[in-house]
Amino acid sequence: MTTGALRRTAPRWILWLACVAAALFQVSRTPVLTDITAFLPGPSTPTQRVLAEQLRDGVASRVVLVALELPAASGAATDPATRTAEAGAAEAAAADASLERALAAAATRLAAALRDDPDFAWVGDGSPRSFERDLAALSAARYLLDPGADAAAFTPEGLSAAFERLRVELRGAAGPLVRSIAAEDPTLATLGVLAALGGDATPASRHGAWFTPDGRAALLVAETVAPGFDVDAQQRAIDRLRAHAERALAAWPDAHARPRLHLTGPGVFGAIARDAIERDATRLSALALALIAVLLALALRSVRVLGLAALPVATGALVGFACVGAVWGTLHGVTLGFGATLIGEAVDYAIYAWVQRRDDGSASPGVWRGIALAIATSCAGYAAMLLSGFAGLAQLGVFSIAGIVAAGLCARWLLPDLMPARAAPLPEALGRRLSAWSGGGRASRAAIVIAAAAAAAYLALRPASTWNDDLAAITPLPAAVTERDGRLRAALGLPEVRFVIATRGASREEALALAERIEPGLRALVDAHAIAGYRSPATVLPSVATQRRRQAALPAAPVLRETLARALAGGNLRAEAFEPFVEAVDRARTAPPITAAHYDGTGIGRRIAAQLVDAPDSGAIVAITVAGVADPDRFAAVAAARLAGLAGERAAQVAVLDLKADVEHLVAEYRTRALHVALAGWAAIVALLALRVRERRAVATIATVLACTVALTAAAMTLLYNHLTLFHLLALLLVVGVVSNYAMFCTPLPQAAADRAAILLSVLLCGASTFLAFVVLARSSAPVLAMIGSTVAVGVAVGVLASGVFAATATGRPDPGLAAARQAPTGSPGSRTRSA
Amino acid sequence: MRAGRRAALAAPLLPVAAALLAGHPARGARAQTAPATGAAAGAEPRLAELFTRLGRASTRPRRFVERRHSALFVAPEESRGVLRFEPPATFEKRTETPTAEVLRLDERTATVRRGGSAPTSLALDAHPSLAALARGLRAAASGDLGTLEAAFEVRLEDDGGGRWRVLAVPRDPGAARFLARLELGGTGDRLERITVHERSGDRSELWLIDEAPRR
Repeated sequence: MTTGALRRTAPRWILWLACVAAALFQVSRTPVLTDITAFLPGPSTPTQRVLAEQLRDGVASRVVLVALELPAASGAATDPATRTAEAGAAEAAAADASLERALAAAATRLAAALRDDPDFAWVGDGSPRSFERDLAALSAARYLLDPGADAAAFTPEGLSAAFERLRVELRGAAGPLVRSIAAEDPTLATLGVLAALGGDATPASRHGAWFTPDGRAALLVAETVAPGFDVDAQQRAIDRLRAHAERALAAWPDAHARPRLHLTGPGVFGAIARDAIERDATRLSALALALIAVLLALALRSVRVLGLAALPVATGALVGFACVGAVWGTLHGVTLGFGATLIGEAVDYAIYAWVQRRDDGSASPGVWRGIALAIATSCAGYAAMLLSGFAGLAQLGVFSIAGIVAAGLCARWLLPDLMPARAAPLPEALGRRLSAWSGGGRASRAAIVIAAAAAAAYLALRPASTWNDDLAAITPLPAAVTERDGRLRAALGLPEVRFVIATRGASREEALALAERIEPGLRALVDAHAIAGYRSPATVLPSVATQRRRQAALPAAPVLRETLARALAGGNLRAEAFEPFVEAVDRARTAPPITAAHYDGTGIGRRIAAQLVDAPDSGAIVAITVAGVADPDRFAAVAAARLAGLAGERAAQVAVLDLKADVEHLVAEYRTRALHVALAGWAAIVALLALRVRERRAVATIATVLACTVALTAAAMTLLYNHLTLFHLLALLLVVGVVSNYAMFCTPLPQAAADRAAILLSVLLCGASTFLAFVVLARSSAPVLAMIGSTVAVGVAVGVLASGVFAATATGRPDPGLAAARQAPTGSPGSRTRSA
Repeated sequence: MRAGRRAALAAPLLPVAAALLAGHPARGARAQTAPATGAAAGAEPRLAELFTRLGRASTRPRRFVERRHSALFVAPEESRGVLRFEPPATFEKRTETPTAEVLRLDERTATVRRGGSAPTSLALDAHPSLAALARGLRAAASGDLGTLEAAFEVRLEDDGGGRWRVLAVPRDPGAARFLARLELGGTGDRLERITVHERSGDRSELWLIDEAPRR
């Protein structure tokens, strides 16, 4: 280069270096997150927001469900040929029993190891110690918790009836059991408390461990110290759990039939999702790079073009990531995966710059304006993602817009300096064939329009709804994992996650009082078999008002002693033996009301921590969970109707949340909004094109191409997926943004044959590279990316085809010269081209 | 009526309470690996012989009188009924007075049915006293000393005049928290009494009678 040229170009390169350095610095400081909730719509009401936070950070998010499951084939392995049927059955039963005991022992060892591990805050198992701690806490507060503890219970008649019942129990089969609590709790108030806890499905406990009903898996519940959103810490805890389980099972007698460890829970899901997303990010980008490099090398027969293409691609990607990091402070793993598509887009500009050159090496007229327009229309497409309302999609939008703008600028200002002086020869045969084939006659255009109309009709007239708003469609977890989670939750008696009845108050006291008020409604729901059971924190932690009311009904020691003596006079029970009872009642009468701290260190305490939540604005929310909902689709309405009356003037503070339906509703709202944004985006793109192209026919042609592409792509996606989701819709907008570039280059085509061939070739190559990039994306394990990838890939393929068919010269009509050239190798009369 | 409602609640709640209240003897419990044949090696020969004789005796249904002694009671509580053995391992204790109740003791569970209410199941693992009763009865009925010795340390006392007493102390510390010892008493080859002594000082005596009980 001459000194003058150097001085001219140096500032640009210095600027480029500075930008790259700044971007590198920003990216190095930006951590990568893999929280999948970024791609879920946010909560709408304040109550939902608090609960969503709890699901993310609270106790519920830290729970790991552990199952040690016997492999299917194990069990009594008797040889049936050598035993009689009866002996075989007895042997089998004995072998099963010993397997169960061994499994329970292993589960107990694992639980002990986890309790000692600092990564785990609490472990729930079927061990007697856990039960005893829970029961001790309930028993210690029994007179404050027992709904049956009222003044009538402590009259001589009431006591007499209670003690008669005690006597019957003591005589009966379970006498020794009742004996152990009889002296302190002869009215069996603890049993009354347990009755109120009622439909609490506790898993079957055998040999000191929880088991599934079929006895083939031992169950544990572990709570990590690390919050659910800290995926790194969750992964560490999970790894340690696996190591402990290995050790606990090391002594298993039969190595072939060793139990398998299964884990589910929010932290486990986060780790699985993160693994999938991270694998994607590297895999997809590498694959896309490789495929596109091969394509370019083969088509353009130059290795130098690869090097040139790398510059805008790399710069674009770097600037894109840096912008995301600057705006949000973190980079989502899915964005990294999406980076692969930028390769497909950014390489287009290098292709245009390389291919569309005159022989002397200078750029074709209008190629830069064309590239600028291409960037503008693609940005219009990505802008819809910015406005979609999902944090994750907004990141993709910012990343792509920043990336393609940077890549375009690179291509415009830096690439020409690096291009070889003379244009490389293009594959002529291919160029000629493209020229000849493009601009097909009426028949092919009509065919495409008719196909598009048929596709539109199919979409409009489908009997089933086109749209699928169910979030299950976008979760990256395999179906087997979610199904196992459902089974373990059911076996452990954990409530469903779909429904929550929330009462809100200015303080915990108010929220609990309101929860008590609606409790009769909940019992009515159980009686009506609308639900199998419910779990309300107010059952184990009544409001202070209720506790004081119950305390007031308790008699003082001297009074109770006298009443007791009268009640037992003439009976077979010795009043003196029940002095501990008198003292317990007296203590309860004067003790301070219990708070959540009363249950520290017990399983009940963990549940309260999950269900009694302090809201950020200094209020509190009680979350009541239900289990065994009979009619999920109508439950919210039914429950709200029953509970509204009970809440009275505070009805606004009681909410029945159907999390699944609420989210679907939200997704539908977003979808409507996305549709409006998409329509506006399409209009903007066509307007942009109209500004540039300035010829109505050409604009009409381009609009036709775009409309046909959208219709055919949407129909194809519906056939493939059976339903379309919000992400398909956004991807369709992307399709329009990308295909508009091709259509715009193809219509109007320049007159010179060489230029025409160059343009068509560049369009084909760009389409192919974009297609490859998005096809690779369609292989992603994150359904969001897969949906976007497959839609855009199909759209690009259809769009390139349509652009080629509708290709026309500046007159807006198919070039008769082309058609004539096909029919007769030498020119033909009767048709002339006119310049615009 | 609240008391009535709670009485109705008590029965189904017993398994819950039982599971929650009882100590589980199974933590580290020995697996049932003792062979289900006659006496284990090293057992007293007279003990083994006694059980062999017991096992050969007929096992027709017998009337029983159960007396429960407790610090809570002024006088022992008495109930009466019929005890049936269904080979190989099931007992049915049908109490007739004062409260009708049917207790079935199987291999691993006990089922209690009182009046018209639904039966409740208790896991024997969780109820050391019931488990001891079941084992003692089963051992005497089938002559299976080995199963008894698997869970208890067994000793024989006899006065030489045909009356004998078998004392069984639980091996498992979990069971020993609730159960002090199990006694079997009888004359010749007939089992007359099973007594379960609890740690709390209470005891439950099951007298098997064919005629009026000896006072």
